[in-house]
Formats: sequence, C-alpha cells, structure tokens
Amino acid sequence: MKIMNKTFVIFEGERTPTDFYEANAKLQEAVQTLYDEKRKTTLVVDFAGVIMAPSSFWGTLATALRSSNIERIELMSVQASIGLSIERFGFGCHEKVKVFPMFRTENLEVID
Amino acid sequence: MPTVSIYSDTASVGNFMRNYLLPVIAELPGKQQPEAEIAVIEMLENARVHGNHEMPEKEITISWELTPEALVIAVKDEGQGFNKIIPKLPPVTAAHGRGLLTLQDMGYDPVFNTAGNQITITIPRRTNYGRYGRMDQNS
Repeated sequence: MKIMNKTFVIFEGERTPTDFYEANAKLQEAVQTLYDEKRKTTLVVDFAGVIMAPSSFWGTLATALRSSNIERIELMSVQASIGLSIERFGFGCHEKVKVFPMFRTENLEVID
Repeated sequence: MPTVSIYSDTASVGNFMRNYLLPVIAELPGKQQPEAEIAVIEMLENARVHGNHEMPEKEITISWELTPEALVIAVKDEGQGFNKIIPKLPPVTAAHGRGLLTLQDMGYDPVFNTAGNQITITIPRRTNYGRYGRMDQNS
C-alpha cells in the first residue's frame, strides 16, 4: 500500500494581490521547513480565490522546484490569470508540476 | 504629487499598499484594479530586492498622481541603479527575473531615470477590459 505524503499550503482568504504578496511568506516557510527536515513530499499549493500572483510568488515556487526533497508540486484551484502565468513562466510543462484548474460553474452552459 | 518613503521589508510594502495605494487604485475601473495592484507590487519588490538588496533599513520612495486619464507611479530605491536591460524569460527554476517581464507583459513601458534607480510607469484608465482583465483580451 502506498501512502501519499503531501504538504499543503492553502491561500485561503488572500483575495487581493497585496494579500497574496504578504502571504507568500507561508510558501517560503513551508519550502524552507521541508528542506530543513529533508522530508520527501508532494507540495500542494491551493490558490483558493486568488486571481493574480506577483513575481515574488513565482520565485518561491521556482525555489521549491529546485528542492530535491519536493518530488512533485500540485497547483490547485487555478484560475484564468494564474494559469496564464503558470504557462508563461514555464511551470506548466515542468515534469514535477501538475496543474488542477478551478472550474467555475457560471462558465458552464446549461443545455437541458 | 503625494510622496511617501517606506522601509525595505515586505510588511512595509503591504502596509503602504493598503494605506496609500489601494484607495487610489480603487479609483480605476474595477477589472483593471488587480493588474494595477500587481504592477505597483512588482515595482516595489524590484526596489526592495534588487535596488536595496533586501536591507530593511534602506528606503523606498514612492510618488504618484491620479488624473482623469491615468495613474502615474514612480518608485525610487537607494541602489546604484542598473543598465536598462530588456527583460528576458528566466529559466523556470530561477528565483528572480519575472518582475519587469510582468510589467512588460501587461503593456506598461517602464521609464528609468538616468541613475537607473527610479522606475516610472503610467497606467492609463481602461474601459475595454475582458472578464479577467486585459490579459484575456486576445483569448
């Protein structure tokens, strides 16, 4: 039986880019702690309601990519502009990264 | 033109945004606001990290002016300045190099002073925004 070892960083409540800029410390701290503990893990980043992220966040994510003990990064609840940045900066095609878009029900067309 | 100086730490940047710039950005069209907020954060972070080398005692000086046509913002650091390079896409694992590129992607044309330690951008008021801001206009 394989037990998944996952570390979650959830940006819940950080709605504006300024909130998210300050909350980037959450991710920095998690990446540093995992490095210090040398624990193999999957890092799960949940964007929750965040719509845009500043470059400092992408820099921290790049640091996580370089960390050998972080074997996989899962980006959850990815909305449109965040998704564009993920692709723009090359994270989307990195082998360690898996992206899970957030589907908004208001975008779905009811046909019946 | 209002001018404020802050220390070079993330808490000061966040407090400045909340207390001074976000009320100004709120005067822009709603869908333009997140992009404008990101643009200013990129300028401040550039000054904090690259200009003042993350030394919290060094100051960042911000001036701004909101007119019916645009929001003009200038950010100055205590650094020695740098050559005005055209930002290129950094390797995916690089910790830095995305800030000026983000400004460029948003269509802002940063203007540097002669010393290279002050950056100014003009954010024109736009009304033709898509659902997620200007970035999805071509999608």
